[in-house]
Amino acid sequence: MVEDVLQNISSKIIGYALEKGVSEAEFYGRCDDVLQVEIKSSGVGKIVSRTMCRYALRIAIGKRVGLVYSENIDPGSINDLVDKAYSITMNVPEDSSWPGFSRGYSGYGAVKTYDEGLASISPEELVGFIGELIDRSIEAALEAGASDASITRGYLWVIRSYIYIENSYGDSIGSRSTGFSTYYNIYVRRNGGETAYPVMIQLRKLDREYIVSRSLEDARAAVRFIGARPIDSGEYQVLLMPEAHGELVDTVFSPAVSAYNIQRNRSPLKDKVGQRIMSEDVTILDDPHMDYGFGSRSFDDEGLMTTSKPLVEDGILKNIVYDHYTASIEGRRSTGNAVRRRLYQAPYPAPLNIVFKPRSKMGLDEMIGMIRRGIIIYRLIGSWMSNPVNGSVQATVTHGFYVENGEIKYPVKGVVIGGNYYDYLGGKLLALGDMVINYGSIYAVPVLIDKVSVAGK
Amino acid sequence: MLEKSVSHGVDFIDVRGQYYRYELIVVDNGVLREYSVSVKLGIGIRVLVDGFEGYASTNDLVTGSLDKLIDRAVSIARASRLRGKRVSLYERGVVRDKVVSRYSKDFLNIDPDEKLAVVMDAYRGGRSVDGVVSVMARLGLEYDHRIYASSKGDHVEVTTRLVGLGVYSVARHGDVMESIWDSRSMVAGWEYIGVRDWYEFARDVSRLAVEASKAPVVKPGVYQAVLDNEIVGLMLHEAFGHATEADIVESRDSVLYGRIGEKVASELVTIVDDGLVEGGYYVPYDDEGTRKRRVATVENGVLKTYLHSRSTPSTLGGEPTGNARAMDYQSIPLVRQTNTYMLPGDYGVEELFEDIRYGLYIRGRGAKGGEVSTSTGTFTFTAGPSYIIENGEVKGLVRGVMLSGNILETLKGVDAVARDLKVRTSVFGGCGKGGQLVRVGDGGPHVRVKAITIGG
Repeated sequence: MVEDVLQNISSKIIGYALEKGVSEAEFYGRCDDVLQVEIKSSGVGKIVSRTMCRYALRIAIGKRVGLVYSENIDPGSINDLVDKAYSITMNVPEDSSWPGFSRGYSGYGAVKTYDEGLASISPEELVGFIGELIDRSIEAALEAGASDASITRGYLWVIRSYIYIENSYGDSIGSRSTGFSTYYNIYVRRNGGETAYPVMIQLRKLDREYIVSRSLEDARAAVRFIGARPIDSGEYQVLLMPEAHGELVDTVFSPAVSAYNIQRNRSPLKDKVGQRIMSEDVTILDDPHMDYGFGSRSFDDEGLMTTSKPLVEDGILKNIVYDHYTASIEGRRSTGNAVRRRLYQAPYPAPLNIVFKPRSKMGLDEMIGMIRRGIIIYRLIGSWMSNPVNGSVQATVTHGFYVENGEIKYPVKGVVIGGNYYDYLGGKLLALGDMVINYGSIYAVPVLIDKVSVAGK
Repeated sequence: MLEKSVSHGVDFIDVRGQYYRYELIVVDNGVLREYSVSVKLGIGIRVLVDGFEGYASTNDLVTGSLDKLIDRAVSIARASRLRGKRVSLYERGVVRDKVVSRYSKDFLNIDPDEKLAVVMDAYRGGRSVDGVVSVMARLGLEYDHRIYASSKGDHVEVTTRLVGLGVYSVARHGDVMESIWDSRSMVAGWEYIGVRDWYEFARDVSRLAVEASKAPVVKPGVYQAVLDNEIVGLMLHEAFGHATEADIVESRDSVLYGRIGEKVASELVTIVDDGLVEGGYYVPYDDEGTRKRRVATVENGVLKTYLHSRSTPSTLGGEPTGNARAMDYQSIPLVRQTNTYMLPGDYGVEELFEDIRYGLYIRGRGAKGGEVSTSTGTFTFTAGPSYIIENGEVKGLVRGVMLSGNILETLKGVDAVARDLKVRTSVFGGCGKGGQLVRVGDGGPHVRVKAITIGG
């Protein structure tokens, strides 16, 4: 049992660290069972089954703090690792802000993050499901008018994880979770024109009906982008569909509400709590308690209970997110947002599930009807090169439509949008839609924005 | 493992073992944010059963049963029959070798306080510039020991040391905040740290951040442009190199599918993938034990070959080029680039600017990277702060430079290639594909292009 593996290592490593004379210690362990399938040429390529347990140990000697990480679970390696951590920590300068490790571990309760159906799927069953997905997607694209369709390339992951955290104060907590993630390109051709449309689905449970429905919808949509071309440079109204909007939120907004970046002058939201930063129509939550939400969890990566809270309410910045360290600098309690993106790095405060709850919402058709001259953007590349430090947005449109007077005219690609995210959701915001699709742990809605700079022909 | 596989009925097995250690020191706004040591130790196997592949990996070398690992790989190979294709590995001779990258002073033996002093020095350099509001300095030290063995008798061991230091600086001018990240890395030992003044390096990064925060945003449009060494390397790797990877090509997701022998770039352009170039990452063998050889994917503008693993030549022709690479023992080797660069031409760098009446000198320093749609060749990159060119002279700095276009059109528009070649790698990043990150290098000479679209 992976639970036993981690708990045994934790017990031994904390015990030896205390014997060495450290002031305090914190163990963070994680075991993953991963089934990864390469999707290629409308079939499957390489498949791998990975099992791995790994762990990080943080120790403090007074206010000196060190971290070691290991994937070597041989009990014989533990003492060497602690010795290394001890020698590093003795040599680093004191951190005068060090508050000690978090204590009083607890979880929120019954947040659903584990799906037995996903956890127990066999390689044969998974390959069978992928086969069905591929066949039905191709069929849907052909029915939508493609003369040729195939799934060119992508990956699918099924992950079963167990996390265990323990400190030298006697706290410990653990939980299981599952994840399903896939992305692939569907290639379609008609009348000499062609395009490849990326599909991305990320869930916590094996919801076959939803996965098939999203895949078929994207397969049908792909055909509409054949023959895309750039438009002239200028200012346009832009309707960002949820996936494209989610990409921008992930790059620009999510890091900006982290207390870590704010305290280090790396966010435009410094000193903005209580102030208007967006249109009054915008409300954004950090909600880690949604059942099967992609970022949902009962406790954070420091063992503290997660909290549901508004980040932006009616356009006002209400909360930023803290871990134990950043909270203590401001004399606060952690908001339960410690995240270890990589186990070999210290925790960092980040939103868990960003969820848009706009005050007034409208359907997609109504939003398109509002566009006088603009583009609808379904897919972007390069949005991650936008800048969270100042909110500036830059991304290239790969799949979009040009719209005039509420009517879709032709598909668009190869144009660059620019501007600032806080202007987009502030003075330039025309409307928010009611359709929610997740981009990882960002549950975004469509947004219609006025006067967006577009570099095209 | 190799002996045990016989009783499991596999036709072929190869085993990849890895011991990896990464040391990272981060000083953020004067505080030691992180001093961490990471260790990886584990094995990954591939089996071939009746022509179908199965992969499995574990780091449970103590309590885990190697039999179970083989069983898992065999069951994966059997599941592959449902929708997979038989794999044919290119036959080659048995390879046995043991190589170590060049170094003279092992960083594993350097005291932590000496390492920390270097990072603090860089931090102070970055912080010493007026107008800077935030500085982070980091030191990365990587030791990677890999063993490849197969049931055919191969046994290859490669040990690589990589060291580097980077600085992230944020400057504010009025309401404008600009950030610059820059780093230098080398396949070397601790001696590399002594060859540069890191205090001055960090000051340079901060000065650029301050200048950028005062600079206007570039005006969107189509420009004649000179690209510097860094941005050329970045573009070649992202926008062209990925499209030459045979696993992408064979799934028809590459704009270069079926184009061997075709002109895909200006005749001034020759692009190589080289595992042993100075300044680049060290790849003498790939993760299938194949010797990495220098390959010209494009020669004088003509597409000559794709980059191959041992299995891709069976569908596309050609032969293995030593480009099957895995992030670590857990990961499947994919077709990956090593060090991608353009060979130098005949022009002096200054000559590239002479005939430009109004254009852009696009710089890679501070670039945030790029992304490409390999199926169409559409690319987008954020360059670093760059300069306007007026009447052949480099003038004022501009920020917010985002390049966009089609790589084949851009490469066909190359009308001058300079003599200066630079190739770089990084201990802080690399190339992402299929959820894996591997170290790579890229570069080239300065290059002039007739037209490139800039969004601002």
